[in-house]
Amino acid sequence: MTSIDFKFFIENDSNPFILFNNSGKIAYLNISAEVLLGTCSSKEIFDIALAHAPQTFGAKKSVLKLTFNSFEFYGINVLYENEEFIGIHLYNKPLKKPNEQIVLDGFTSTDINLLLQANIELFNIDYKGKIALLTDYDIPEFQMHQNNFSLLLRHIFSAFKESEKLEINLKIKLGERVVIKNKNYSIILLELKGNLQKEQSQELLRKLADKNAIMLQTREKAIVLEIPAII
Amino acid sequence: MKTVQFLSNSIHIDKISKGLNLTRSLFVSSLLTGEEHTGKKTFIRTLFPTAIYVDASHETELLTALELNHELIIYNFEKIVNLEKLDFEHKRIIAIANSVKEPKKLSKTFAFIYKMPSLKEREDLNLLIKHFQVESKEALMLNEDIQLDIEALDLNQNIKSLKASIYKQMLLKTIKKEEIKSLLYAYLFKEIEGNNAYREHLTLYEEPLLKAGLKKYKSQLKLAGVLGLNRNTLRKKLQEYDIN
Repeated sequence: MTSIDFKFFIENDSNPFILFNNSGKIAYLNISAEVLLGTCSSKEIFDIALAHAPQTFGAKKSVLKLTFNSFEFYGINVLYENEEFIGIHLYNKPLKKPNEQIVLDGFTSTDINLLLQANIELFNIDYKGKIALLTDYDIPEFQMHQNNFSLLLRHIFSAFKESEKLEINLKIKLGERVVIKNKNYSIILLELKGNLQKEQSQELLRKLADKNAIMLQTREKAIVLEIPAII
Repeated sequence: MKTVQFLSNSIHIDKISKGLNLTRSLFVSSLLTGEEHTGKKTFIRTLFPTAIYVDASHETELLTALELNHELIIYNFEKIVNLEKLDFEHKRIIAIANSVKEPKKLSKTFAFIYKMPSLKEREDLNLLIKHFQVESKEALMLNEDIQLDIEALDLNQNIKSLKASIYKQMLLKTIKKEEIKSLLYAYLFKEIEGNNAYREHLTLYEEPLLKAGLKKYKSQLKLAGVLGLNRNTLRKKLQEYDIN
């Protein structure tokens, strides 16, 4: 049987694959893994590989939920056949097809700065900390569900209620666009940085974000919203 | 139309006002809650004098109003039985409620939830006291300035009880001897009966006399001298009325 070079297939797999040497240095990584390592360190992945490695040579699959910014994985496969190298496959969580599910009922042309300001005023009634707002007032009006977006913001703000400081940045995301129902739109980036209270329900935030066709990312000390500027 | 005035110097209320003003052009649902008689409806009326107001106690009327209008102010919202029946989609709604029965449901419906502080929580209480003092002086046609006993003002029912207690104090502090006599006359005329009426009604004179005397002179010895009574008689009477 002729030998087949599998490298091309691994290289272009949409699931990240990384091969480490025994000191944790990367010996090989495919394209998806390169993108993933833009959001987390190779040490984090190496530690995960070691923690879930099979007891002896071979492969061990584990089902576990891993999240690195917008990347979500439902499981991993850790493999080694000698003492020198250890490989890890991370399996992407199947993505919903949000574009097809987006319902734009109740969306109306909105000045996001005005809506944000109203929400800040509400939060500021009881908030004891300091709010720093950095915004682009030139963002044009676009379609939003004003009540649902405010409901989402209220829940996000309440996750920062004990934070001494809350930084809010609103801007147009450069170099990236989003395609919704075959049309492409700019992305508005809303970042809220401060000390997050972990008890805030992620599920509820995601549900509310989905209702608004918004991509929500929760980081250690920030919540980031990617809002499609539908016009 | 009757003009309304909402009196406030409160920073908290100022923030609510700012929030409501910012959303006046947006299709969002806001809820203003707070104890009874805190002036919620008056406050909203001063901000939105020309809006359509509907009473949540009348469900049919409310549902019709919701169908016909994009902008609505709903008061007595605590009386709503079926929140699910209400369609606020693509509408500008401000609801006013004295209490919150189902906070979770309301939290899902209303994006903006404001709480009107009670009078006990308000830092601008003096503004209201002054206003009612001037108002009562005019209404009771009093010429002299009256010093109010601020501690004794009743805030339990917010503006309602505050106003009533200020009027009462203003009235009682200006009452003259002849008016007391005529007041007593009217009262006694109605009440005198039985076979011991003299002793029964003596308390109307004795009790306030002893209480006021003791507060003013502080010692029983002094008071006995002022009243021209024997010390033992005074002590007995104080015991009888349970005055310390």
